[in-house]
Amino acid sequence: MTFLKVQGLSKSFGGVQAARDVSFEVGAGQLVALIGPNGAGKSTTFNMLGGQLLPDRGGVELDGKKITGLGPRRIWRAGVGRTFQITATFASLTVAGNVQAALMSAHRRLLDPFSWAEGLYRDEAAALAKRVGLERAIDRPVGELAYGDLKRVELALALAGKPRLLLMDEPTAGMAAHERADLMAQVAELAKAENVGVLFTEHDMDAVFTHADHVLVLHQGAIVARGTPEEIRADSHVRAIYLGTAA
Amino acid sequence: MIESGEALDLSFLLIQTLNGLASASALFIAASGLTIIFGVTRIVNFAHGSFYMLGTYLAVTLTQSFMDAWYGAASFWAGVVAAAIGAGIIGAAMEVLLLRRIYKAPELFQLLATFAVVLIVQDAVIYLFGPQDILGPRAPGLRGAVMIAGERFPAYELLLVAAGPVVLGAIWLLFNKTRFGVLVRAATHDRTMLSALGVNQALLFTGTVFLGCALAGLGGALQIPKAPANSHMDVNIIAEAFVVTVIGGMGSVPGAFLAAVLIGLLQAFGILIFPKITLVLVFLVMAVVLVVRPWGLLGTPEPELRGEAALMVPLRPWDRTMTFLAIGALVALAAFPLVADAFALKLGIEVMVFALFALSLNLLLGHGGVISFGHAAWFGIGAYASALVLRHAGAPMELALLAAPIIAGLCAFAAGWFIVRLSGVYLAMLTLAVAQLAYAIAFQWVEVTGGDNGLIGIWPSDWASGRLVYYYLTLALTGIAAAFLIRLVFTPFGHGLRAARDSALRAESIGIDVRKQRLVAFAIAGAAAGLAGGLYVFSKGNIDPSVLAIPTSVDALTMALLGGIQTVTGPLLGAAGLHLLKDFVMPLTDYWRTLLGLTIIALVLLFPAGIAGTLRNLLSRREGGAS
Repeated sequence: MTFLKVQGLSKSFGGVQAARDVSFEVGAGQLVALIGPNGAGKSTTFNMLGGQLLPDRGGVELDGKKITGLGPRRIWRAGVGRTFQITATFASLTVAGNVQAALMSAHRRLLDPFSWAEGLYRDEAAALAKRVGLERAIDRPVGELAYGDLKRVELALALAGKPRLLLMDEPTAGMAAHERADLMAQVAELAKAENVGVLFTEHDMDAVFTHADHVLVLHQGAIVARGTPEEIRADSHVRAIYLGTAA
Repeated sequence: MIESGEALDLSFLLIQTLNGLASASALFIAASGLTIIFGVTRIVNFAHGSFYMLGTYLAVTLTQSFMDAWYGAASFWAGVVAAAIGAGIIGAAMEVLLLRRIYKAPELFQLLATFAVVLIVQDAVIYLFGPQDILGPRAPGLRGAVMIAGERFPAYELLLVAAGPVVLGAIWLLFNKTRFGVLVRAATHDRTMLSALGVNQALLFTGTVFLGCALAGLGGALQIPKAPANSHMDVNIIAEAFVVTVIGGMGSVPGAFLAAVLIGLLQAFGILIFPKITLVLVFLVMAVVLVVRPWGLLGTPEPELRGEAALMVPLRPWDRTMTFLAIGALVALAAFPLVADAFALKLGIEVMVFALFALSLNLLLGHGGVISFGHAAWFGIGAYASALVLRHAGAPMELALLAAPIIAGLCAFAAGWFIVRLSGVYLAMLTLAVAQLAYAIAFQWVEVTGGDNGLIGIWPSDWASGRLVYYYLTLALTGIAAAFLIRLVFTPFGHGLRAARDSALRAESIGIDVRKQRLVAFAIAGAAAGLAGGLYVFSKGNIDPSVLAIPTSVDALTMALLGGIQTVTGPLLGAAGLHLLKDFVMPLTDYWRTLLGLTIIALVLLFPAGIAGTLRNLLSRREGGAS
């Protein structure tokens, strides 16, 4: 079952075509990796899906509904959780506080001027923190956390909205090798268990080839190859791009 | 006022245009330095008007003594140039002593630190030149008038019309033909690149501030034949210079020129069509430009907005200690009249009123990350709302006190709708413009507000007319409002507000409507400040536009900062602290402004966490050491 359908997405900045005619689909429970060298247009594509950037042309459909041109908030409410390449978290709040903020948003309680925030959705937040492996850091301000743990906070934030699609931009960048494998395994398990689609970009090819069901190769803004990890691994054109011999 | 038939006269239109261009030139020269300094250092120099004023004072003194030594045009112009250089040198000293230490500080601290310089320069000017106005000499050879289209036009004004474009041309030459100028442009365009080029940044920054302040001084020096030097001119010119800089686009010199011409002509012709609202018109134009083009006519958007990292300190959870302290404070305030005399009671009322004012500001500042530099607007609107409802609608005090928060809250909501669309320094400038707009209305709408004289005889109802009863009324109302504001920080609304402050990007991507969160905070803070204003007017019995002026906003900021903007209850301590300082220490000296200025600088440089924040840091260090 297709959840995300991207058709002919294009975007240019001045004279640079950062994305040209990008089309693909992500199904429920499917892990799709978007790979490509630096500057291939991965983050541009991500930002168009997440509502941070408006595409010049093309459309994005979520569960059959057009979401092109909607802002990040509406896209989140439509069931898309996202993590950023450079983490964005609430530095002065604790891990629990961060997740609670997302839960308050999900339950539409953010304008409530009377309840105590401290205990609100605390158990749910603790469960989410545990799920991403942060149960021991739950009361620490995220400003004090290591970079790898911030990535986990972001994942917990994304999950708080009970998303049907996760957009993860470089989810394991800045993490130690064993942490990376750990996190990707958790994400893969979650995707299968809860039928969540995952679209991720990644530089770590081990992670890509181990966990992705489907791989998209982006080069100079266009998708130049797509297929299973095995097919991509065998594709000489892809290898040429990564070795820098492609035109 | 001018008859409409006469206004249509062509030669009159020409003269009026020249008048407009002359004031545009003066404005441009003053504002160009502000925009250059901002471009390179990213500091909005609140003290820019002070350097304009210094230029005027130096020029009246220097031209006079030069002309005493040798009478002639050369002496006059040598005096003007020397005054500009003098202002530049004092500016360079400010850069070395103060600005250098705050380049990386949050914008709020920069604005406050340079405002402290305003206070110190005001005292210095009175100390050096005396409190009286000083008339300068007129320029030899330019004392008369020339005939233009059959009308007499002062020759000196004509020179001013030319001076603006000449200075613009000189700046263009400097920026395009000299290494220093190229570096200034490079720094304005991209600051990170500059540090990679291996340029001596300290020298570049000092040089830029020298140039900017010398231009301010030149602007001030050029106007000595038109108006005397006085110690209030700084605040008037800074408001106009801000308007010009913001409309033109901060950092853009041609933009400042364009905006100055726009404002100059607007004033010249506005006075014919809307003689009563010229001031209002100027700030209205600025507000409209900021809403439509947030980066000004020729400005460019900031590539990335600086985070208020210094503000992102974890919130201390509300615990039993805090409850005990709060109850203790209430009991102490309730018992205070037992030991207080009439003066202390009056002081107590004032402290409570300003504590609520500071606390309301801190909801925006500390918890929302919204740098409101015009919080006086809501305090003043609340005060005027009370006074006007009582005076013109004949309502009793009870109704007037109800009207204060409602009207101030509604106004804050309306203005906030535009304000929350901006961020950082542009947001601060728009809040300032809104406050100045309110000030201009109170000042110019004489029939309703009493203008400069204000309104008198605003007294409480009979039952509350005794000091003691009014004290308890104030305690009850400010207590309830303060409890609500403090409590609010710990609610889901406050949680969302703090989240939005920490990272707007993250907040939006988990469905938090950052603007809505801030807008509601703005309305609540405005209503609370309005209540404080209403209580204030009944305690004083009268009101005038000064409650809406910049110093009132700065008082609120100082109280919040003194107490600690990262804390929940700090602003209450700050209000008490500032009033003790104002009522007990400052009367001991004629130079209370300097004292206040130095206090602000000390806060910014040494105790950015404020009283409550410093105490908390000390406590947590001790706890940390013990465990």
